[in-house]
Amino acid sequence: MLSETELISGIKNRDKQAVQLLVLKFHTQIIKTACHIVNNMDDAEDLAQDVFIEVLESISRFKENSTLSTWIYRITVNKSLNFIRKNKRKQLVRNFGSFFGYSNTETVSVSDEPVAQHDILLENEQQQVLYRAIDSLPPNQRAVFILHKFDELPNKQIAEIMELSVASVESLMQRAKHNLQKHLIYYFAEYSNQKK
Amino acid sequence: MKNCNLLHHNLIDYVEKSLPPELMQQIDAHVAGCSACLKLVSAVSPIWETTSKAKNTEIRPFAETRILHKVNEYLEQDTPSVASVFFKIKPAYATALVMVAIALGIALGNLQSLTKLKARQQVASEMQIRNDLNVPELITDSFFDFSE
Repeated sequence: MLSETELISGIKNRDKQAVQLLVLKFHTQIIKTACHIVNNMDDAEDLAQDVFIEVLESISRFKENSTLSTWIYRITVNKSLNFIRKNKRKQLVRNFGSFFGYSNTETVSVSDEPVAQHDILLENEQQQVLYRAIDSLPPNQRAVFILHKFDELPNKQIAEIMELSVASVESLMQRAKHNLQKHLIYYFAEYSNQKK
Repeated sequence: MKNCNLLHHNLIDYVEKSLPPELMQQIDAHVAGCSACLKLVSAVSPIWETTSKAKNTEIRPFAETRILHKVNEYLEQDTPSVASVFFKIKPAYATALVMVAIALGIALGNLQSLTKLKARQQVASEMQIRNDLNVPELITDSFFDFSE
């Protein structure tokens, strides 16, 4: 097994074995994180390919101030957030088109119609409710929430990945929780006194 | 209503059971007596529990193979050729290279005309000597025709 330094120098020298080891070691982490952020497995796999190519392209600029894993996480999060931003713009154009009757694309919006029959929600639907709530978060809050909750990373590492202070990460996490709460309460408005 | 708001403000922490014990008990007591809050908690709890299942998201089989294929394709394309190296040269270096070539061209041109000038001067001085000494011309001037 190669050490991290050996692995890095192997990648720099375009050693096929080192590159293969890199993919073997990090592909699961990258796909899972990207999938949680973009909420689509196809897109997550495409993003993972882009992440590895970016790693190969910019490994010469990697200064080893952080671990390879943190650096790869940073690339994954940035690529996934960029993907969301681009998609949002596309969605906006599509919605604008459908407003004038140019498109049949249906968009599902949670907040449009609060569902009361929670007892008919299946596990899959429950996950969808959660993911829609997460989708409604601003990009930075979403990334911090996913890294904390799903990848179970410590705040210090999240701060390194996001290039923020630990205090900012904690604040983003609090705001993410607060926004998710608001979203879920609205979703289950029938049970909440807010709507009475 | 006041206690309903208390639940709304701490809903996720309450569902996660990560609140301080006193606050937890206070909300517990309220939820037990408030049907709306009880329904809210029982609706949100299973949704929040799915976060722990989401951690175990399984990736598709052969995802690694697909990624490796793409990465290998990139590596093959990335092998540096003379042309790619040339195109990768930064504009500043390329400009410097062109300037050096131009300077070299000018220098070579100057060197050539300098040589011609020296030859002409030599012929002129020889002719001068011959004239001074009245030596008959053995070689005609046309032999030293430097006209271009």
